[in-house]
Amino acid sequence: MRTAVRIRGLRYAYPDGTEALRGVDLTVAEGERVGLIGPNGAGKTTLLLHLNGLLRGRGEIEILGIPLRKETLGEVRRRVGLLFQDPDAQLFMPRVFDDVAFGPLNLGLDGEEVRRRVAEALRAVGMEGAADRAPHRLSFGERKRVALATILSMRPEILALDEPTGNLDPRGRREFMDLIRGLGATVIIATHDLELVLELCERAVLMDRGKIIADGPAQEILANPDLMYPHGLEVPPSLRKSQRPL
Amino acid sequence: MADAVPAVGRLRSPLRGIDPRVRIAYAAAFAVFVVLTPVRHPLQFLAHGALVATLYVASGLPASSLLKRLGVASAFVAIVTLSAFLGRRAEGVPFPELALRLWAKPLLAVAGVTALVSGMEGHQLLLGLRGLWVPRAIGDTLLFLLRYAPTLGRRIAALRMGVEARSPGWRGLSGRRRLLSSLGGLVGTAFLRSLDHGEEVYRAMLARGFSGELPRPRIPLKPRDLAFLLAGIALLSINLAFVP
Repeated sequence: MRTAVRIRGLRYAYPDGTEALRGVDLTVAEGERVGLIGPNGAGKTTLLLHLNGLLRGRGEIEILGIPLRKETLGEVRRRVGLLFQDPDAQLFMPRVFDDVAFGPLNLGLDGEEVRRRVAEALRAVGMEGAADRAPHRLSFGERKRVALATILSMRPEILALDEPTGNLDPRGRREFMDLIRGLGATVIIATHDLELVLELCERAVLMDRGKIIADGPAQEILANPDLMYPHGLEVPPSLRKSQRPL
Repeated sequence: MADAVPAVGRLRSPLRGIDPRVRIAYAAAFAVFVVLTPVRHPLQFLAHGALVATLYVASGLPASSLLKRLGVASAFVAIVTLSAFLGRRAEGVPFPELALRLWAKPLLAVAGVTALVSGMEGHQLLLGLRGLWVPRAIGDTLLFLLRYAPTLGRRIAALRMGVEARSPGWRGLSGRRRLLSSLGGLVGTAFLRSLDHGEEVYRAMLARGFSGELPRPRIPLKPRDLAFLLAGIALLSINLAFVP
């Protein structure tokens, strides 16, 4: 199986001096679904921003065998789709169609192919009737779906999702989870939604203070109170129930 | 930026199916034709009026939206007409002719543009403008304004609620100084947050391959759009050329 993401010794400090990543090593195989968990300020989002080259720290990053450098940025951004936590950051055009077409147009695709990709991406997220609608008229859940469509239209091989279910109501959350499950790509999800990790990811990576604390099967990591509590997390309720003695 | 006519933003009408670029272009052409119509041919004005009425019915807009715009335009035109009449009385230009010259043209143009453009939602209007001759910098700036004005509005409303929830309301804030400092804090915070938000939007754009210029998808006009434009211009030309 090919390696989708390979990170070695990644360090990054924000301009104010805050060290957000302090020597991260991570390898993700193609097709894997990995949950990045950890308390606020653990470095999860910072790590995701590095996958797409939006932040450039010290260390090595390879995406599907391509070393991340200035000259390979375009190629890497085509392969890694980054979903932001706030859909209003992702949807900046006055019409859904133009937002979903933005990525493919930047890839230099012709009009017919762009239209095909927009239709395909909107269909994939169940928003096929929304092409002519204004994003600010959509509900939060619909905006989340359209935001996902904006990256699916670029046909990325790796999806980096930052809090994909944040602020969604239970039904919206469930629908979004089903949507992600149906995508065949490599998926890296940074989230506080531990039930989502349990349900969608076979592997969990626990981060705290810019370092990887634990990396292993999601069930094992999330069920371990000695690992979860010291790092500001809790064992998800579904696992707590199963641990109760009969 | 709100919809051109918020209450009818989603109305269904035959005119709504026409490409916004064509509607805007035809509205501009209509205004030019009306300006070119000589005042000594009142029947031509009537013919233009009939065309506007037809477009208006096809637009599905309520009469109030037209009346409101005509009312606003009339107030401006009335001042111009009156001052022109007072100025030209000595030249012996009869008032009816002067009124037709100064009144009929702008009001007809306003009515035509209203019928063609005001049923569009804000984003359609903007996309139409971007697809035509509006300079890129203006079009792109308007695009961001249109998209983020509601978002910024929501954030300011949330901040305002935050202030009100911890005070007796704006009116209850004792002293001008406290009111000003609360207002200043709110505006400053909204500004800083919008800067942060702008940065995040920019990152999201970069993540999708943005390289400094907003792409404009080339959407070809449909035969129906071209037919509408050509038929409309033909009608205006016939009015000018053949109506006595």
